Amino acid sequence: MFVKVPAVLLLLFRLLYYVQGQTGAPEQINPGQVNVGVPGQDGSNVVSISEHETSGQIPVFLTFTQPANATQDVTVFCSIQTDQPGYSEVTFDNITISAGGTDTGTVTFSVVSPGRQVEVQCLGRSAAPGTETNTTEFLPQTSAGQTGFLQVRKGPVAGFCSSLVLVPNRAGVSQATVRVELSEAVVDNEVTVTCTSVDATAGSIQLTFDPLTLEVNSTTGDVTYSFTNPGGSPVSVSCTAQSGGGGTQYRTATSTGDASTFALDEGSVQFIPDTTRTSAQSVGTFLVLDAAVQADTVTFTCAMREVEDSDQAQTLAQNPTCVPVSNLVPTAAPGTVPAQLTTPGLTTPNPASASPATTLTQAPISAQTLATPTSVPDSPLTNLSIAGNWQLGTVELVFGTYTSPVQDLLLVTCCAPQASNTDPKYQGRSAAFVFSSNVVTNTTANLTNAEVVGTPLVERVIPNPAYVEVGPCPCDLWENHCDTECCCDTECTQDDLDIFTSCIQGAFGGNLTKELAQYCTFSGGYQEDWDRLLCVERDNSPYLGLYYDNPSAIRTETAFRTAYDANAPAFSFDETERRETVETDSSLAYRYGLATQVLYTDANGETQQGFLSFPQQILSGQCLYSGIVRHFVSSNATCTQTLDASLCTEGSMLDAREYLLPSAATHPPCPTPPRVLSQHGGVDTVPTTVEYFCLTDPSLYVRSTTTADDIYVFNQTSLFADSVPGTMQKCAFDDGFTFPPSPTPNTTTDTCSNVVLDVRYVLSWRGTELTGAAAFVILGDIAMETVTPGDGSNSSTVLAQKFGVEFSYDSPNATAVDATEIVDRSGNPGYDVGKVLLTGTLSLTNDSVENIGSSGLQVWSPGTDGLCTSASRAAVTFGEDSISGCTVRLAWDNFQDCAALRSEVRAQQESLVTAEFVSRGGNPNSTLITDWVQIINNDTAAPIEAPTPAGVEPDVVDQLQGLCQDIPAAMNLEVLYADVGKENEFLIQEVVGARVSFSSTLWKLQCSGPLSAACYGNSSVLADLGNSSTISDLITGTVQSFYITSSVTFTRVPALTPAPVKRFYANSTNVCRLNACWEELFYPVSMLFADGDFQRYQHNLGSALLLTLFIIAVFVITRPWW
Amino acid sequence: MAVVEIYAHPVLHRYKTSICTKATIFVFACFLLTFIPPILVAYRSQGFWQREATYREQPDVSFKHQVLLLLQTSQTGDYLVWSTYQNFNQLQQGRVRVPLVKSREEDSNRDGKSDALQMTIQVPLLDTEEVYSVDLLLFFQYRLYIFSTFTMECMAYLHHTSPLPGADLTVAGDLRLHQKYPLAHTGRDTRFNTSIIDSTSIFPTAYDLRTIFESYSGRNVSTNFLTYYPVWRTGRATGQPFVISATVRYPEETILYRPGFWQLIKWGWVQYISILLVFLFVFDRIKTFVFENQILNTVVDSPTKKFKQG
Repeated sequence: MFVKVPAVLLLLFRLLYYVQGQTGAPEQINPGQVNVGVPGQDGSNVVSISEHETSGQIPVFLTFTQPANATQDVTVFCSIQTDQPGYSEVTFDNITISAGGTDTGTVTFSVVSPGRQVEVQCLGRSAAPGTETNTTEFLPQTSAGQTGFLQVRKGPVAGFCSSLVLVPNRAGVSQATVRVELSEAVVDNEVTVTCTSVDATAGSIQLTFDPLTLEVNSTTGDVTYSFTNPGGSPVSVSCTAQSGGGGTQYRTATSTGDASTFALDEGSVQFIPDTTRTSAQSVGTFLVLDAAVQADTVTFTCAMREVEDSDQAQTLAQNPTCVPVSNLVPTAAPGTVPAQLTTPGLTTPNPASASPATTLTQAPISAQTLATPTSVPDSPLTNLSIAGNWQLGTVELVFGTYTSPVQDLLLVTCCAPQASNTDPKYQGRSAAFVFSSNVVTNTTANLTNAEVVGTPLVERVIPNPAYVEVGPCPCDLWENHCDTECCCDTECTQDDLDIFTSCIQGAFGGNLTKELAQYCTFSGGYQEDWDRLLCVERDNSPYLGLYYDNPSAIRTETAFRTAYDANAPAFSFDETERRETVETDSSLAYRYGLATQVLYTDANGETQQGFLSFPQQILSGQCLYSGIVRHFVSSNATCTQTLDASLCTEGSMLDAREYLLPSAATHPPCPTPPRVLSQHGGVDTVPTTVEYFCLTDPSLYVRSTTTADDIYVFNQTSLFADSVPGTMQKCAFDDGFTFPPSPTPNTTTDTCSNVVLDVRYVLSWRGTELTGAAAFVILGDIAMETVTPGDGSNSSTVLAQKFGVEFSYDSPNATAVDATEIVDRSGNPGYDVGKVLLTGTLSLTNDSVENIGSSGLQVWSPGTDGLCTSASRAAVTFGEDSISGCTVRLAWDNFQDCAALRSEVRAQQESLVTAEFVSRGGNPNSTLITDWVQIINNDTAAPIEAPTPAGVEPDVVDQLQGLCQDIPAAMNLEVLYADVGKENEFLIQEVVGARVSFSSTLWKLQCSGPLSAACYGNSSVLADLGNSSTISDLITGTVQSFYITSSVTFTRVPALTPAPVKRFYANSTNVCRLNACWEELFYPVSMLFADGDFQRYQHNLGSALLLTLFIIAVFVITRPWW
Repeated sequence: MAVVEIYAHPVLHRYKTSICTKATIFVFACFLLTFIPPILVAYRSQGFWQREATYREQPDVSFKHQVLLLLQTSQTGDYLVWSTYQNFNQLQQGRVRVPLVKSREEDSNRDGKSDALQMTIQVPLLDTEEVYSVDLLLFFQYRLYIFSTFTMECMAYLHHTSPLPGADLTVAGDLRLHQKYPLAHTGRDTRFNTSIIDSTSIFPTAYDLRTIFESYSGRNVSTNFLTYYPVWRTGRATGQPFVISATVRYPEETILYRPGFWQLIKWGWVQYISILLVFLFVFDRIKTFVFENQILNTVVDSPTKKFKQG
């Protein structure tokens, strides 16, 4: 409350000052602004035209700081604020708005190129340059008013939806239709679509397209075309559209869509499965056509032949001939009837077949059964006809009677001979399948007089062994069989008994039982004392004991289920889970953890709900490309992928079209990309914006082959970096209308173009809905092979793609023009551990803190090689002690001027600390100075030592010794924080102080041993003496590593300075010494025993009081002492 | 008229005899048999003298912010090191790769003692460098207060090797106390409060892991870092550092100690007296029977007789 008062006062003061400033300068002229739009009309500042309208207009109007009218003529000139590839580009004409008019005007512009929406800023000038006075109303620097937005839309196109169109292949058919799609619905005037073949030659298919006229509001239509020479080579066809009646929506010149290839529909036929086996008297397989038969009947003729082995079968099956082969019958033993193949025909198609049998519903089957070829082995086996809407037939071969086993490999070839088929599509098409037959000879057995042994399905009843001797003959092990040497076996005949040499006495094995410790006869080691005292004598008599019951077999499903259900195990391998990805939560609201859903168009053109999948890392870092994005769960993944020519194609994970695509994109008009659903399980989709960036140097995403030896060269010095990395450019194609290109291999340069390197999704949400999806995709051209710099060898490029998903709140105010950027807080109230420390600098007006962020106080973050040249900076995070640093490589020469070295290191170290203030909590108020703590930095008081000027001899001692003192090699940041409160069991921690200091150290070259620095004095002097460049190189070369470090220490201090305590009472360790401290004298009723749980403490105390009451009662009643 | 007891008190019978009589010998024998056998029973039934005892205490552990890190970056012996010991870094020269280290100690139950150390080490690596093995030595100050005031410097040694080049290593484990002998029950114990690594040494031998571990494992009291579930993730992206994330928990320990004299005597007395009570009772009955029935002749000094005489 107290801290708020100064802030309010400050604001009041500023407001007062502002009002005074406005009223206290009456001599100043009323400055005017130029605004885009029409006064009082919302949205009038947004202009969108087609590129076909070569020029357009944008309204402007003048306003003044004090309401007034223009008294001077104003020249208005407008410009585009964004100058990047992919954005709309126009040129504006300057206009003059005369004084005394309506103060409005219209600026004309001419279209240069279409693209994304750009911001337009108009400025005014009411005096020629150089003649401005203080009464000039409009000046370029002060007249910027409300901006406008302008977009030049790309001209719409017309095109086919599939890249391959099949020309029908049927007798007598020379006309067909094909679907054409427009990228924009027709407005105002109807549109005529004209298609022509691009590369027709004399030998190609000749196509003639009828022009198609599309009405207003339509987007698709069917173009009729007629064709001749259907057997010719394929041709490419593209379409153009032209608006009629003077409309400008479609122009022939700009509306050419992607070309599609027209080719003859050559039918195909195959057997599924094409390899099978049989041990029965028949074999069956499916004959599948590529499409349903349209009008004619397709008749197949089949032939069978024997093949030697599977290799031969494969060769023959791959090139099935349409001529019936002569040797059809498997080799059979003399006197046997060869296998006969009968009863071909069609049966009901298998609904589980993988063929596209969508029309397999009713149509009658015209099965054409041929006479059984009993004696003509070289005739076709069967004729099979497929008619109506069927595309699936069944070939079933039934063998005739035979008397010897048929074990053979047989090949069946079916073809549609030209003679018996009128449909040219399947004429001459053939397929083959191989089967191995393993049919054994039927054997005859007369079982009428067979003796029935045993009674199946009748349980054997075992008598209770307590009363009946169940094993009168223990050696009788086999039923209905005489056991050898078993004299008591009643199945043994006298002859058997006669040849037995001896009789087995008793049972096999003897009666071995486990010796338990409580038995008197126990001799197995350790025995408890009482076991010996009261040991158990036992008698293993079979009579009058306890016996297991003999359960009967369960023979019915009902009995089985009863028995199983009553005793079902809690856990088993029985599969109860579903195998398809289905989300069980059907809530309409997106909640934390639910799957983000998309709407996509399936192969049949119907929309389906699916999941937004995105690469994620699982287990121990493996990349899962089909991971599902969960609501509110941000993820980051890095997927390494060895680049391969097969990946550089459409549909791979390198293809930008496999990720979210811009919903505004219309070129080409189809297919429709998946859209994110705004509601979980809903039907509405959210707009998707995608920005594509093209990286000219994708080395960040390619595993480099530089080794440490390439960097840590023994004679190469290295100090600090002096350049900053460049920024990315937007891709040239990315105008908001065009879909991204798929990766394409370039064989000449051996690169793969348009490879996805980085994808970042930002899903905006508000309430329980998603409101938008934004994607940022980085593309690049990647070389397929990387050259190792060391030995020049080539290896496959290893690509590391990066993926990230995050969710951002879509603020209702975000659409306002001056919406403030949402910045991450580091906790509220106080700091959260692990969040960045917020810093800032005092602004010049001295009453607020600016440059708020984490960049003012940083630590070193070493790059991949650990050298300071590649090191970057990392933010300091609250509550985490840290140390980091980088390496500099110095040679003798660097030690010649210690002042220069010192100042260089100091400058680098001090660049880590640019802030003056650190925020007390994670949510500071920039205007409230009490929210900030000044960083104590005594070092800034000392001026940075200047390097020794040229011409002045450096310190002699420095030169001689090869060492430099007082190098500020370690930066130490000490932060004090305190617990200032508690909210919902979470501590509120605030920074109460911060100090930066530098530890100076001595850097000294080690002058002996291999790879130690060369300490030979001034190299330039020595080089002069030796006048040999090799010596000079060697001397300047050998370097030694030194380290620059930065560390952070967080120290907790008490919020209040504690009152001093006498040493006797001080218990800093907070323990009960010897478990015998006075605080724990009554331990059972102490809070300590209750573990801080008040309920348990109450329970303990109550029990103790009850116990005391009992004791007192006993004493009162018994009165032992009075 | 009913009679009620309004008061009662025992009557004392005195049996007297001269010194050299059977009764004297009997009484003496009874005395011996009453007091000696309980000692024998108590002692021979084991556990009479409490030679060691345990107590539980959460140690007061603080991370000394001293680290020694060794990464094997190839299977042929390339390695990278870093430590907070500057002398060691000086010796290693080009092998040193300064990482970004972050650590914090948590006191989750707010009892004034840290419960865990959270540590992250990001070692910058070139794309050609692959990590096959990690040796990480963390040094701690370890204090016990309840019985012996014990202070030592101890170590958590984390070692992981994999044939697969790693991207990061995540471990979570306990810093467990390892005792060879019981601690004393009182007093200050700073026997092991010595540096495990002599950081002042400028000689490589001081940083030989063999000698460090040899002497450390010879200590009577030391700590082990026990982690059963290390996760070694592969597939380091380009330009990414190798990340070691370690959670070292400081659990409450059961500590073995030698009880002091009075604790020893107290437990011995409790056992002895409980057996002695039985013997006292039995022999009291025997003596009463013997003297009441005058099996051994004694002069009975009975208060009732006196009363009659008087």
